[in-house]
Amino acid sequence: MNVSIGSQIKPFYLVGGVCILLAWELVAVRTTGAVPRLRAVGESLLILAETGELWRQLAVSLHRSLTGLTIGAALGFISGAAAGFCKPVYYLLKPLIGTLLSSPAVVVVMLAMVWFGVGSSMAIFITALFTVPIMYVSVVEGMELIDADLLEMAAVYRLSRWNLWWSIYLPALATAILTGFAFAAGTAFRKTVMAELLGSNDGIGFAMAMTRFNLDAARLFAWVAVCLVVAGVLDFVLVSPVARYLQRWRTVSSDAGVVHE
Amino acid sequence: MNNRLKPRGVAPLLWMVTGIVVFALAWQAMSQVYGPLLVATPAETLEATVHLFTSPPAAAAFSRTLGRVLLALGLQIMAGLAVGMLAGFYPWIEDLLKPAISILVAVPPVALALFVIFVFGGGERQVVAAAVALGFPLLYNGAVTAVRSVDVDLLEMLRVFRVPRATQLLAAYVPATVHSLLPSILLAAGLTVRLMIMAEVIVGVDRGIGQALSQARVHMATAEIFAWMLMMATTVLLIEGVMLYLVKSHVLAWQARR
Repeated sequence: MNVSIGSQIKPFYLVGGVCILLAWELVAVRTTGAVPRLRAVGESLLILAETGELWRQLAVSLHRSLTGLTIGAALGFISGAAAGFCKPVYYLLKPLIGTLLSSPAVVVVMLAMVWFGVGSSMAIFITALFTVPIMYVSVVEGMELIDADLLEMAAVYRLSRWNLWWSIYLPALATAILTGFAFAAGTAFRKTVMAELLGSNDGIGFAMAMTRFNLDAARLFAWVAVCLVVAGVLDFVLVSPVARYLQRWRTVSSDAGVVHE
Repeated sequence: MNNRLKPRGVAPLLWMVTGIVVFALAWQAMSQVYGPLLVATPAETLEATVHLFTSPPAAAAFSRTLGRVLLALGLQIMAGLAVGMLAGFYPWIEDLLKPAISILVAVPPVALALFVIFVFGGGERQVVAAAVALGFPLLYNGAVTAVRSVDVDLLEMLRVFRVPRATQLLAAYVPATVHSLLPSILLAAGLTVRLMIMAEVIVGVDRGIGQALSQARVHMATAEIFAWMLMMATTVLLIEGVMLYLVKSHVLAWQARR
């Protein structure tokens, strides 16, 4: 999906980008007020950067997403590996993972707000909780992909336990972790922002919620631009390289990153 | 999922039931430790769920939200199919739309919900529009891939026999696209339910599950929140189950006809 961008810049891609900006400006001029002009958004962004607000809130949000991601990925990996090695664990966890995957995040945010109150621990909890299934699924599927023939061969040749781990399990697990991490990173940031928007006193989500009370649309779009940059950077340094790496080995469903909420 | 994980025999089912029991016990323990005010017991939750199913306001909220979800899903499918097929035929259209799609995928959904409030004001139509926009990339990507995967031999034949373009479209492209789009639709259904509730909560629309949830939170009624959560998870699983059934029967019929 995103892989072709780096190799060659297509003219229509640029035209599409310019069209969005032009359409935006046109709508902004016509509606007078509701949609801020691009210039106003840029100025808001500049003010945010100059006052240090941008970096402060960005640091808070990134710190929360990273903490949540680390906890969630670790839990997801442990449970995923357990489920991969031991079938009963897979079925044992199935109802829980299924519920988690189909629960609307806002509902869980509401619960977490009752439990943790408003603030950092709530956002970290939400982020961790929703990165668990992503890593879990990635690890379980990664271990399923371990070639049965390869394992049989290892058994036939009486491969030592150490060798079995080093040359069969570890590479498969490493790939799965990489994939899970890449796809979970974007989710982690979005969940953090969502949790902050609903119940926090700082962070990008909180800053967005404040623009609603101050009726400052330009500032909202400035924050949205910040989120897009974060997502773009994540995609550029994490998701795209991983997807490219995986495509050399197997066909990976590059849609996996698309399904979010 | 892979073949090795396909449930065989009763053992998987037993383990799954055990999983649910363990989960319920852990839940009970949590509510013992933290008190029923913070963590409603499973029994209370069950009671609240039954209450939700039988109380008219909750049923009204539920059907209202479900109606919005179905409307959004229908619009998503139509828009995704139309635009996705166009982009599938003409790569330049795909390139043209790529920046917009990338933005839709990358933007935090909550931010888009706020955007909707700012630009269009809060309201039912606006919430549906937000859910459509957020779910659109999934179906769009599905349709683009689907068009590209249409049987080349079939197309060749249609061209050789000089079948009119409209017939080509209807006979080859639409069935093939819809066919390979079904898994995406399945994903989109679950996604739209979650998106809709998110949008309802953020935008604060009258009547609907979003409002019911917000009220439950204000009253610290954890049992009720749990109940909604269970109900939504069940609904999503049910929708996915029904659609999966439809997909399977449809795919089988489609393959049988070929």
